[in-house]
Amino acid sequence: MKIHRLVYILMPLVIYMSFLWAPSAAILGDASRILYYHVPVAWVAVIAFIVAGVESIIIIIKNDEQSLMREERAYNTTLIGLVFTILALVTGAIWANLSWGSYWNWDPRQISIVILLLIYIAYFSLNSALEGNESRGKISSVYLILAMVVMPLFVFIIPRVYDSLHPDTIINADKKMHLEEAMKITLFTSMGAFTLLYIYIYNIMNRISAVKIKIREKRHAL
Amino acid sequence: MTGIYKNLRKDFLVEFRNRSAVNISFAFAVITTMSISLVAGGTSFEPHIHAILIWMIIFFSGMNGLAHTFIREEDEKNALFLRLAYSPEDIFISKLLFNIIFFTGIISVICPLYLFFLQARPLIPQLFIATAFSGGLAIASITTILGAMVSKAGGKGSLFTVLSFPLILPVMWVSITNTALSIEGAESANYRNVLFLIAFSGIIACISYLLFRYIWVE
Amino acid sequence: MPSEVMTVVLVIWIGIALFLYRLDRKVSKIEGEIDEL
Repeated sequence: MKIHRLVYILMPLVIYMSFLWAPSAAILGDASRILYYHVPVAWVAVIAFIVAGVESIIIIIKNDEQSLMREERAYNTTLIGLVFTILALVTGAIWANLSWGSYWNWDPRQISIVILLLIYIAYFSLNSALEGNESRGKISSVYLILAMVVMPLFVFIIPRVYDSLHPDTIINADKKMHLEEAMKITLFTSMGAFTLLYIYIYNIMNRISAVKIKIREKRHAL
Repeated sequence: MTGIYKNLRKDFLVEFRNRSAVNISFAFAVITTMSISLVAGGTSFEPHIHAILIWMIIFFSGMNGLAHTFIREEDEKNALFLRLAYSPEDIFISKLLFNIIFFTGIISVICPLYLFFLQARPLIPQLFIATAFSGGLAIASITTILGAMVSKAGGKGSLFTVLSFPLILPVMWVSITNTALSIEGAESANYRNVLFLIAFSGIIACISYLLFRYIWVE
Repeated sequence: MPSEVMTVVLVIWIGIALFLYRLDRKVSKIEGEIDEL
């Protein structure tokens, strides 16, 4: 299942498309091109956290020898999600500066992304505080499930309930997207490329974790 | 049902005899309110300053008391007995109810105290009360489940703060905004934020109820 | 202007891609060796 290696072709393509092929947006001009990076990065963060939550649910339901590997996987995807959340925050701030004049605007959407960041940073504190504890996997998993359930509140609901400067998102009120064809294509390709990048990095991290676990087992067996 | 009731009774009795959490919370609330009142000396604050101060006092008073619910069990080596005697769900509900009742009690004392000493009068009292209680409900729900997690991690103080802060922050933000609106009596004040807080509490409480046994049982 | 930014981003990407590729190869190698141990 080496589909994720496609990212090597897709990503340069996206970079080309986002800068040269897609037309400039109406008001913002070339600055709007950051859209093709900000949206996919935020999307990957959400996906990563959902994967963490689902993995944690499986850990809790199926309590078997595979749990250790699953806990590593949940940890890995949360780490990736954290990095991409930071990227989303940064790209969002850059865009904010270009559109509204300042990097930080006390905007509900910006604030909720910071809260999301803090929620997942807290996960790592919890994880290290539980070092050596046998229930560590289960407790961390409960936390990740709680975080996954709460996350849609911050990513999707708060910005819609409270007035926000943030432009309409993909899932918006009239169920349509106000983008030209070429921009739509670029955006979707970009989302695909970043998703592949996520799968690729996740895959590598998991393989490293698997090797670590095997080494530990062999050492115990000796 | 009786399990929940018995646990609740036990927690209240222990608290009544010991009075540590209640004492600390109330002492903090009274001291801060009096200090602010003395320093303010009659100058009237803007509504959102009042809102911020009220919720700061509520938050810190609550934090002292709420974290102890589970940590105390571990400290007193009671936890093992509880695990054997009662089902996890019963324990969770009794702890949650205890936190809610405890926190509601604290809020019922702090708010009138503050309003009296700082001479603030909310123009929409019902909204003020609704916000205070729904915010308290949310904080109690969050701290119950997180308190349980922290108690398994050795109960070091700072971990609880780190874990609860990201979830409490939005609750505070919403509560403060709404309290300010209710004091001000603005037309845009409505119950939407209260609904949000109640929904938030509900979600957290439900998930916590479902997952509590995986934290509690070893 | 866009083409300059694009070149910078492309260079960054090539750096990341090389890193990932090397990592991939190394992990595959270790995976092979550890089974033999």
